[in-house]
Amino acid sequence: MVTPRLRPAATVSRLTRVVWAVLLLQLLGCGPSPDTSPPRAITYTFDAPTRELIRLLAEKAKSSVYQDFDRNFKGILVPESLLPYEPFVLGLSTESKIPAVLLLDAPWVQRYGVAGWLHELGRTDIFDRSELVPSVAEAFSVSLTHITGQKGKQLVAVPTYIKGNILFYRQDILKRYNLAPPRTWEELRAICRKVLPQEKSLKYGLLIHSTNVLNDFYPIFWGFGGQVNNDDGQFVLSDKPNAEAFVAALKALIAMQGSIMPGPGALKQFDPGGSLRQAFFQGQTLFMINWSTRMKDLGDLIAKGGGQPPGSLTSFSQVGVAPIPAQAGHPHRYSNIGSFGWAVNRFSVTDPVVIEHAKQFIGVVAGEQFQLLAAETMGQVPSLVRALKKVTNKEVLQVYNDTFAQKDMVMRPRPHSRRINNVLEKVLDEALNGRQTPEAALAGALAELKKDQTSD
Amino acid sequence: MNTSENFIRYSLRNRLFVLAGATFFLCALVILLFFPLLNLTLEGLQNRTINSMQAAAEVEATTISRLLVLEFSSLKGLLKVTPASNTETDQWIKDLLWEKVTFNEIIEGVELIQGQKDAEGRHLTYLFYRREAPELKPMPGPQKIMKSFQGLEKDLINSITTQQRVDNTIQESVNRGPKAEGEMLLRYMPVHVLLADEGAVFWGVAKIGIDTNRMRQLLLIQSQEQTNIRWNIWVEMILSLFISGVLAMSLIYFWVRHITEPLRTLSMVTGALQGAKPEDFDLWLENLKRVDAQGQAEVVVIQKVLERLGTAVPKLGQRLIDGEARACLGKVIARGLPVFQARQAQLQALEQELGHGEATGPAHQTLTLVRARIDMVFDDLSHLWSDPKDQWDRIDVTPGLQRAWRLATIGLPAEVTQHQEFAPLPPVWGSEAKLTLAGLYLLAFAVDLVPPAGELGIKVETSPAGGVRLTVWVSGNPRSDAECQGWLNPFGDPGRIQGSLGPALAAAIASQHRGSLTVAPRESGGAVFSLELPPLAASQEPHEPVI
Repeated sequence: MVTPRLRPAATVSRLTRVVWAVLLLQLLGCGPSPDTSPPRAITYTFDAPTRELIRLLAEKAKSSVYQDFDRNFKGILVPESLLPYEPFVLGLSTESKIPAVLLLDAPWVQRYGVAGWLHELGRTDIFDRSELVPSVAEAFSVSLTHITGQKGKQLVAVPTYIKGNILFYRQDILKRYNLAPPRTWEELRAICRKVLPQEKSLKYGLLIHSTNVLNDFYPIFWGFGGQVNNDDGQFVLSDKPNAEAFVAALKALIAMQGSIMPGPGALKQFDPGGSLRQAFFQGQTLFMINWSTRMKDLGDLIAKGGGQPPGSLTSFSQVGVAPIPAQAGHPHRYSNIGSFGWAVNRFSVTDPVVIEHAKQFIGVVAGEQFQLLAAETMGQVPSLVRALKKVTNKEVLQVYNDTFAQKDMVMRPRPHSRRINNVLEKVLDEALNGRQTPEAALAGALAELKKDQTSD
Repeated sequence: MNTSENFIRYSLRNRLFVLAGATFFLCALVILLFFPLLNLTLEGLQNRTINSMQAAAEVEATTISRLLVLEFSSLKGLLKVTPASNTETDQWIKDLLWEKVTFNEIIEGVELIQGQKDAEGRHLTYLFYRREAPELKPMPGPQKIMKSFQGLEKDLINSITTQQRVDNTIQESVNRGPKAEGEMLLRYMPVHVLLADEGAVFWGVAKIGIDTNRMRQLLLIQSQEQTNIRWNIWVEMILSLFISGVLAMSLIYFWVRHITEPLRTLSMVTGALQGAKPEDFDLWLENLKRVDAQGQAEVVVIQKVLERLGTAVPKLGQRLIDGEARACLGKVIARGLPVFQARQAQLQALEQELGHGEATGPAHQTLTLVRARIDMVFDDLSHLWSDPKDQWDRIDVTPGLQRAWRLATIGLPAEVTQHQEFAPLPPVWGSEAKLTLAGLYLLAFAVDLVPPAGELGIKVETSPAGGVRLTVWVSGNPRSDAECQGWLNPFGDPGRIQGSLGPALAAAIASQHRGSLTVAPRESGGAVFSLELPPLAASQEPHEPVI
């Protein structure tokens, strides 16, 4: 006879009792305590354009993401008077947790990133670098090997648009002469020599800024193979190849003065803001180095139309854009990037919730909808690849396709040291105004910078 | 083993007391086990509190340091100082340090260390420490010196100078333990000077000492509080256990008493049967009926069964006494049967010899004597065999005892020497039939003991107390006291119930008449049975009726 096995039934019964006991314990208050902590909002640096776009999206998209923006994210207004002092250096260098998310100019991203103050975004899944246009993603990446031990560059900020200085040219004139936009300075000079004598309305072959000329000079300098700082942020301008490139680039500009560019005496007339694009709009120059965002300004001027002198632009089709030329034989052409990007304060990341909130914030202010609206209303070039595919603004696409999408285009931020930039700006001014030779100007700059051993 | 002691020790009530007490102490022990757990919990709480206080102190130190650094960031003069200079800027910086350290109790000291170092690795340093520690000499005032840093501190300052930010990993290792400047929490912060045209320009490091005495005092207070809490909880636990123990034991005592009372009473009533005399049996039965079972089923069942037994036992006893009397008479008759037959034969022979005529002479006298003897035997038997009414009265026991003697000695071998001595007796109060039976029981028992050529005797006399004493003795083998007492208690060993219950029944009859029966061994062998009856009480004396 087989004895019935009661053990399984008893086990099941016991298990049932245990389950009931656990459930009852929950009812008795032995369960996990309810999460009573209020939802935390993260802080970010407040800026007007972002706020305006968020407002527009809240009205248009009717999305709760944008409508509840102020509830979820607290903006910190930075007075403009403080910006020159780089106030966040104090906070971040002392490991302050505020603000959690910062809108930083590209050079600041480099400085803060190398110092280890910014959180790497790709490795922590806050943002996937492959969603960005590669050239702009590279400009917002830094090497964190000395902090994280990981080789290669890490994305530390997400740009919301692409801005850099580029070469504007009269597309209609070059077409008329069946000329392609120049890739080298020699080509530019050749075009000018050919066109200028025949186009009497053109006063200049090339115009660059007379104030803050350093911004225009850097891509030219880089196109000659020079660097002020290396990738680790160390000052290398005094190295021979860089010094020679500096002098060569400066000499190239000086050589064009008086024939292609305005001479030292004529530079003053371009000091007022907007005078450069006005001159281009009025048809005074064949080429102009300016920020890519000036395309929208030119469009506005063309749209205004009447009352302008003869030869002024009447259509966007007359405007062409290309990367700033480089020295013959150099593989890349450069743009001094002027984009701002959202970065995460490394010291604010005290728990995963902060990372999640930062991810949500960046997803909102650098998202597809945001960038598309900025492209259509402000003429900004999106930094997201998928946003670029949906852009309908022809001028934006023209700027992107003809400049930033070029294979040899490299976007690079200027050196973050204000002291270096100030000194170089000063010596450039001296040289372009004929008060110093390029060699003497460089030597003077290096001597002045060497005095400060602790310069960053 | 003392039965009474055992009863007390093993009674249900005491067992319940012991079990309840043991259960309570077990529970108390389990509750007391919480004390070590409480200690562990408090220790964990203390550790967590210490950690959180330390973290809070560090946050506070960082905040204070950051505020100081923010203030230093406006010192544009810092960018102009040199080791060799002794300008107003130097004095202004020193004065600022003096103000910060002197008027802020929580700031123990400040060092402003220039990031740039000279060829010997020394840094231009402005420093001032309040130095409240008794083992340290007070610092005269803020100083500007060239200072060398060593070990981890040197690494930290170099790291800050290179990266221009705090490195918590190194900072914590530098901050741990007492410092040469006194025991304080040190914070190292990079100092940037803010310039409108150059931005935030790195200058050096601010080393700020934060007073930790306040935190130590808090820790001490917390430790004392925890000790107090521990003692209070311990005392409260002991007190509550004591009170609850007293309450529990009191309640348990009353409950157990209440619950076990019916069983205890029943047990005592039942136990009383052991020492009860036959005449107490009715009283015992009455007591048994009076036991209050209080509805306890077990007690009710036992009580009912005992009542049934108590009702049946007297009837069985009566049947046993009756049966024993008949058995005793039967035995006497059986023993005297040869004598009766011989006398019958002698009687027939004499009657044939004498014929039916009226004759006189010796034969005729013999015939008359034989007839008288036979009649006496039958008369004695008829007195004892009959079931006389159990009448109690003032009686003379002599005739009955003589009948018993005559019947008991019928058929005794001629070799047995018989002694009889009947003295005049005072009257006693009792049942003649029962007392005669008692004598017969003793004599029949003694006849069974007498050896072939032994002695058997009876003596009836007035006892010294004025009553009646019946003494029956018999010769024979030496007897022990235990054996003699065993005759009186035939049910003492339920496994060995002896054949005759005569002595026991005689003792019961004596006891019924407020007398007693004792049995003792004879020095020359055999045994002596002595039955004493009390004299008449005053109320039993005859008196004239009062008219």
